[in-house]
Amino acid sequence: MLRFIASRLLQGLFVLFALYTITFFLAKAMPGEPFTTEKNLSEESKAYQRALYGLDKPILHQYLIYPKNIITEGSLAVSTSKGRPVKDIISQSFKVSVVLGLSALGIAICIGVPIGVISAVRRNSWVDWGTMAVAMIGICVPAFTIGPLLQIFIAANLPGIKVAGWGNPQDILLPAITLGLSTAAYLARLTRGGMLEVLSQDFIRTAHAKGIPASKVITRHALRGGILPSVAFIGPAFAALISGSFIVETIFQVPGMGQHFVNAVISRDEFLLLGVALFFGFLIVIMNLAADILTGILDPRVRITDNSPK
Amino acid sequence: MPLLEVNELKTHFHTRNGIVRAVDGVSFSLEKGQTVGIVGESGSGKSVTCYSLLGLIPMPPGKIEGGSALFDSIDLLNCGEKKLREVRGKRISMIFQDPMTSLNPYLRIATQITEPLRLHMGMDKNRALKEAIKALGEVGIPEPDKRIQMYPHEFSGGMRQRVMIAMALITKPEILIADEPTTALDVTVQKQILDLIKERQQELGTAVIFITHDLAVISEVCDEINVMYAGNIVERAKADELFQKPLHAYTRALLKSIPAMHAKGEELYTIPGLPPDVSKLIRGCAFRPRNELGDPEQCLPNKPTLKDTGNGHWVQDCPGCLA
Amino acid sequence: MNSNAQDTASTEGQNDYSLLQAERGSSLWRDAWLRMGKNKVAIVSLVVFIITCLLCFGFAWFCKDPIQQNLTNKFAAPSSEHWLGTDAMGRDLFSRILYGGQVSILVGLVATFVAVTIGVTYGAISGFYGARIDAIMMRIVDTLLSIPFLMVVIVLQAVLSEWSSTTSKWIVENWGWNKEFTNRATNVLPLFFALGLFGWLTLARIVRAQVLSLKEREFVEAATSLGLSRLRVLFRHIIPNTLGPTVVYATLTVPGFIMYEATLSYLGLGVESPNSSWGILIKEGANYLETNPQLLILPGILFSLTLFALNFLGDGLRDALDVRASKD
Repeated sequence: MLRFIASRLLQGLFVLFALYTITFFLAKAMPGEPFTTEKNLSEESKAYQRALYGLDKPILHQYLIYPKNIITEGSLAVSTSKGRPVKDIISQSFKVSVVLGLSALGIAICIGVPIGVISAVRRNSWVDWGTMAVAMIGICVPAFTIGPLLQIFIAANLPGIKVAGWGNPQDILLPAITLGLSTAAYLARLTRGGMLEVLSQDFIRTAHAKGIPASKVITRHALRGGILPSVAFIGPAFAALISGSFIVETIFQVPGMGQHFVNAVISRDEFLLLGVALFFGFLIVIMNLAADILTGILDPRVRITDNSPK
Repeated sequence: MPLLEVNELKTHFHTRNGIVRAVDGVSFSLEKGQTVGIVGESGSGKSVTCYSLLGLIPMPPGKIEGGSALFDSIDLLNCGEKKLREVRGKRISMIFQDPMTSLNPYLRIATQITEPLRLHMGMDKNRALKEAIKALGEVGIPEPDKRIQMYPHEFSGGMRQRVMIAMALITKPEILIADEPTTALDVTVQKQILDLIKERQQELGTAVIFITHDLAVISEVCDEINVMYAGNIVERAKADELFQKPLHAYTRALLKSIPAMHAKGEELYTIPGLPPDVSKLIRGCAFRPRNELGDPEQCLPNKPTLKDTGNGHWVQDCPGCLA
Repeated sequence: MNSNAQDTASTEGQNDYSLLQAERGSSLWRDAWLRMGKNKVAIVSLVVFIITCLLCFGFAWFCKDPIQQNLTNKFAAPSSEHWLGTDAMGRDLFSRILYGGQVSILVGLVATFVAVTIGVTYGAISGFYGARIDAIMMRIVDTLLSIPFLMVVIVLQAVLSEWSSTTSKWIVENWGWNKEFTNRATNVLPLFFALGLFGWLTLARIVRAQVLSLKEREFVEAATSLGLSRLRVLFRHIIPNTLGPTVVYATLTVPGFIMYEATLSYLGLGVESPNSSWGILIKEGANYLETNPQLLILPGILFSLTLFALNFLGDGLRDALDVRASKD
């Protein structure tokens, strides 16, 4: 198991490096300059700024110095648009993002997985049709439509729930629901598919033949295999939640990291961009690892052959 | 009184392409400790017959249209799910064709094999585990105390079938239904598994319903043989009698197509055509289109019935097939 | 040989039959079409999508200019003049929704086309050549799949949009095209590529898995033994047989891309106002949700309806073509 985790971590490092490379060169290819957003700066002061941030060095040098500084000094450089260390910006906002992301993921799992199980067990009944239609709504109605509607109908009518803002614990509720709904819908569909697949297998028949009550056949024999596709989806789901958080943070004015990413692109702030991108990448690598470990716990066959699928 | 008496069992599947009459009026009985074989081609309804007895037919689309199956004065077909569950896995157990897929890959052998004990016998975990280890040892699994903590994928096919047998017999059931238990195994392992079933059966006094398409296998284990064709039993006789004096044209064709019954170099007989499509209503003798050894001209235009020819030898009374 | 002979004979007979079916492509597709016809949800979805396309790409040309402002006629109620009323700038909402649909649907279709082209080629090559090439190519895909898609698209979009405005200027200056039209056209170009360039990864894996199994089939051996070159075998005999899963996956990709377009536009990184797209309209509508909810709800409904239709259509195709969900 340790070797398995180590190899996955190494793979994660590789992913982060690829992400860095792509983001770095795309950032370099972005039109415009970092300092043009401010008031008309003279050419000299622009040059001065560039030198200050090390942006005058050859590209290859810049490409190599950034990861070197991360490793040797733990430094993520300084934001060109905010004039503050990127590390500070991230450390101030990452908790918000992680709390929002994890609560959305929690909501998604708590809604999606049971719904998927139920509709698989009641296949082709009105329960199945109904829940899958609702799940389709969750997939097809974008967060930026659901969010404002929740603001109007829930925040306006329920005392204690604010339209926007971040500070009280209950402020998490609406953004997390908005963010989690589409993931819940995907999880419901995946779980349904996984359960149907497992329920059609021979060993379920064996379980029935042993005289096990139907409900126990589902919980003890089918559930483990049935939720595997959903578990494998946790990594991508978290990535989707991060994408979604860009929008949800805007709607509900949540001071998370998503806004920094969008602002960094708009203001051509490459260090902030790289820092946030790498941090998000890191979170996704961790979630993927968690999903892998969980898969290993659920499916004993994976533990032995710790290779990626064929 | 027989241990199990199946009467006019009818199981149909209501599919989009029409009603599939998988089992269409099957009757047979089973005495205590006896081994009864059901033989037939794939799709002849032999497995569906046994699944119907244990309520393992997926419903819908399946539906038991009629008949009864009396086991210890319980009608298995009409007693309700709860009552049936007390019989299933405790007094009547089943083993399946493919041991690779019939065990749950996500659970330890220990969990799966102790399940019937804890469920039906109310044993606690430790006692059930001890029993299970003993049972594994009895089916010939080496180091059962260690192997029991493993997962199915760590066993070979033959070993898994041994586990299945141990699991099915652990509650000392009165009937064991074996659904093609050797088909998916290597020829060398087949013999071992057959011997094991026989040995365990003698020890526990269990009656066995043995389903197979392989006449060679069935000749080794069965006291009595039912030959099924298109959802019906066409002939029933003691094993020796059936092999020596087959009456129905289908049985004769089956026996003729066993390689071992031929002299070397002689051309092997094959039955022409395909088994009939049971989703279409069959009028008259179902074997007529493939009847080469008898006289198809004389086959009955309506469904033939079983008749006793004496000495417990029953056959469908169709002059064309008996010719 | 222990089992009785006609049993084997009968299964072999069935195999021959199914092989025949698989290779006579036309009957496979005809069967699928018949199955599809029985799926009412899928048929309704297809009709809904076709009507939406006809409205957006046909009827829209007879509607009002979607960019023409009229500040004296803001938030007008529906009338014979403005069928769905006007927006905050006095622009005709109906016309803006249809023109917005043009952009959104086009982005979905063209980006999918780009993604399918790359994905099929990549997956086919990887699966066909196998061995080390395959291992390297798939490791690249795995790595790219772990990277958050939207993040890269956002940055790529920023890069490409500059290129698009330069192109637009160049076209207006050198070819003398109508400036507004050129702007509108080039505004969406980067989206096509930004989405397409990163949307092919899953498809590449699906196609590769297909090719791997097809490679072992008899008809490929037959083609090879006839002396056809490897590339010819790949493009003439293998890739056409991956069509089923590709069609299914592509159908399910289109709504995904439409959603991405809307997300990008919502964040101010996609299509820019005054140009219209469903994402833009929903974004603008959200500002007036309390006073004029129809500005959000009407484009939102058509948007969601289109996504519904495409998703159900994809599900229906998957059932009809009997494509199992990709295992990995």
